[in-house]
Amino acid sequence: MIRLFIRLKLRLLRNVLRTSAGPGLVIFAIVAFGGGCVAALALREATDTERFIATPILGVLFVLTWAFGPVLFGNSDETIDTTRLALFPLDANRLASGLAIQALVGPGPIAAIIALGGIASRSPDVWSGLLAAFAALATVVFATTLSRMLLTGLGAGLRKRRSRDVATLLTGISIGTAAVSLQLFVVYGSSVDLGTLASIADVARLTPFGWPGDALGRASTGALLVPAVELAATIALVLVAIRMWAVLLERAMTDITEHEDESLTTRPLVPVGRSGAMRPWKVAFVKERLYFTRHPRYRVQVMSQATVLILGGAPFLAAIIRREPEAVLFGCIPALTAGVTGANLLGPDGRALWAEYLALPSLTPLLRGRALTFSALGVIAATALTMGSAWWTGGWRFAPAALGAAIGMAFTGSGVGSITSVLAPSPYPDEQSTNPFATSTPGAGCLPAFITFVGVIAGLALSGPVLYGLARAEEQPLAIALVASLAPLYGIALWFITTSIAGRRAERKGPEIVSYLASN
Amino acid sequence: MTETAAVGNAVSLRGLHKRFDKNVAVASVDLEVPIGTFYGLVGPNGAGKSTTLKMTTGLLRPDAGSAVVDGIDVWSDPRELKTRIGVVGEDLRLFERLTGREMLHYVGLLRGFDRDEADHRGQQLLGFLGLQEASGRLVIDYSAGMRKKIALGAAVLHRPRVLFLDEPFESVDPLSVRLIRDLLEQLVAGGATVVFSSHVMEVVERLCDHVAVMHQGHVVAEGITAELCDGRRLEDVFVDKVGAIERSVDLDWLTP
Repeated sequence: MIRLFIRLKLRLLRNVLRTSAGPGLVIFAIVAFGGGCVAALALREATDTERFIATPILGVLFVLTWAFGPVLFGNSDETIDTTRLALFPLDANRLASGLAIQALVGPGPIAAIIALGGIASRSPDVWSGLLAAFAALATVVFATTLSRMLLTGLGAGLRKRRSRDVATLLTGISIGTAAVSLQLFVVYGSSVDLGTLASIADVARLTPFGWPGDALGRASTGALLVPAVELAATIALVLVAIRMWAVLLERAMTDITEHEDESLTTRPLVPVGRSGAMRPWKVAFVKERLYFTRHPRYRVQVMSQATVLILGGAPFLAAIIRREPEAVLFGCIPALTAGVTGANLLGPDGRALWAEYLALPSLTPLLRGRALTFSALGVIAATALTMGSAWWTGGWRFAPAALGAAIGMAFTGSGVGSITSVLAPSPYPDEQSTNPFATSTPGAGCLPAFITFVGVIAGLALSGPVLYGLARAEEQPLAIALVASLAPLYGIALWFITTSIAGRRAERKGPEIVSYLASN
Repeated sequence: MTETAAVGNAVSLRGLHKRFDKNVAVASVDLEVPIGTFYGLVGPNGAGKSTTLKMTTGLLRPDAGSAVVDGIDVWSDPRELKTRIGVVGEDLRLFERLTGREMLHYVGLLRGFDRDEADHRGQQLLGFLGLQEASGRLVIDYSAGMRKKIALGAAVLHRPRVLFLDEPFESVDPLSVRLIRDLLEQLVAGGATVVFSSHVMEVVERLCDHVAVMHQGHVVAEGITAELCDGRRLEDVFVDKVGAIERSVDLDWLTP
């Protein structure tokens, strides 16, 4: 079965190359292999002591990032869609084993093996070299298996409304913890020396996530016994993970036809009040708000990104810890959510875009309605943070500037996001799949991710005047007044311009966008 | 194709052509659909019916040719076209996370109706299509037949002048077929034109006054159904035009 799945995976990857997602896959492969080779060379140059300290820490980070990354960033490779195997008489254990091995076939895992192979190549003799090579392989297998197990379990849960609320909360907390840890590192990082890192490594190598990395590091210095034991323990963990995955997979695959029957209280989409036609952007805004509460992946993604931005501003935490009133100025940071989450406005529910495309004269109001949703979310988060930090630090005088900047940046960000949304729309995966984070075309998100990144940079650049005003607000009261009053106007004006540009592009490329989003 | 030439026809296709890589899906199709008719597009799988309908409704850009619907050139004035047509697509990708009632209401508001009118039409359609009890359930929980009906409701809510349907009777139970048929007949009686593709010859023969047979991207026969059939069953005419699939292999292991 393993051979069958590997052949199937290779065939599917080859077929992806023939589709419109092919260039994305090629770019992804080039970037991944290039990065893998650079990392391999860098790790090869490290001294024995540096490798001994670095490998368990890097191993833990690698395994956790690979396992939890898809939940945060929304995509994982599921070239072989397990729901399509539901009707075949396959033993779940063999299925999970086969899928675990085939998961190694792909640009990402191979690049990771190349990078870790750089450490293995420093081993002084053949036996320790072989051990290190196996440890490198085990690190990647452990990470990919853990990732699949987690996604299968989480995916099944996310189809139930209550479970997905819990999942959203857990995701937010785990991402927030990571963000706070990063900030603490930034705040206190300057006092970290090799001795501190060695202490962290000592803790990391005691955790199961650090075993394979530590085995790799130790084997590369010529040790045999301890790495062999750690490798054996990792293999045992992988087998347990595969077994657990098999159980989850079996449950998920027999559950695919059952959806939660979500009977809702019947009420009009829009509360009946004033009569007369509503503007289309308002209708789109109302629908988007509903979707935000009902679409599992949508919610998880938006909330996790908001959490990262709320907790992720290192200077903010530093200022908060010191109770500096200026910390309030960083309260506008969550408004950046609008630029990030609003970069793929047509992706969610994109398969039904044809209906909106045919019902509306142009897609501009739809883009505006959706962009407005993300602007509002960003502004709400920023307001909460600004008020909270003003209360904590007593810096109320900075609050108007922070709120003005938040509105300006949210509208600027979501406006630029509307352009990236039509330049590189990315279809959301089938939400009925066992894995709502999965994409059947690995690398397909590469180009949209790049354009989103460029869009975020452009959004930040366009927010330059606002940020400059904020920087001056610390010293000049006039700047506070100017930012508070002009930043919203600036952002809203830019928003109208950028959404118009996006709308015109969408009008020209409407059928192509509809076809592309419907193809997933 | 000029707009003047299209007068009298609800749909007028000239040299419509579409190729996917090396495969020609639709090969320079010419077709005229008279106003106020029930027009059936039949053909085997892969004949190019869905591709033709997508190009005619502005959902797929043709490589060559022109399409005029209700006097509007599809590719030069798509905005105006959208106000005049309704579409029920092949794969029924709908707003999964809206309830049936919300979906019709949403489509009505997008079409520019005021809230009361959108709600009124939506409620009536839900009642007509037998979806009143399911109106509070999410569309994702609907059966295939229910999805077909709610999609039809959304497509006719603005009383389109030309309605395009791709396989409207697939996965639909006989009672619902009758409901859909009644709705389509009412629409045609009101002066609209209905164009639909189907594999079900009996339905096409019973409903359609005009029919076109497509095969391998070409229109191989078209005309008034009664004239085309000339006393024979439509299925026989279809097999004549398209050719029966010859069985070249016997499955000797299937009947031991």
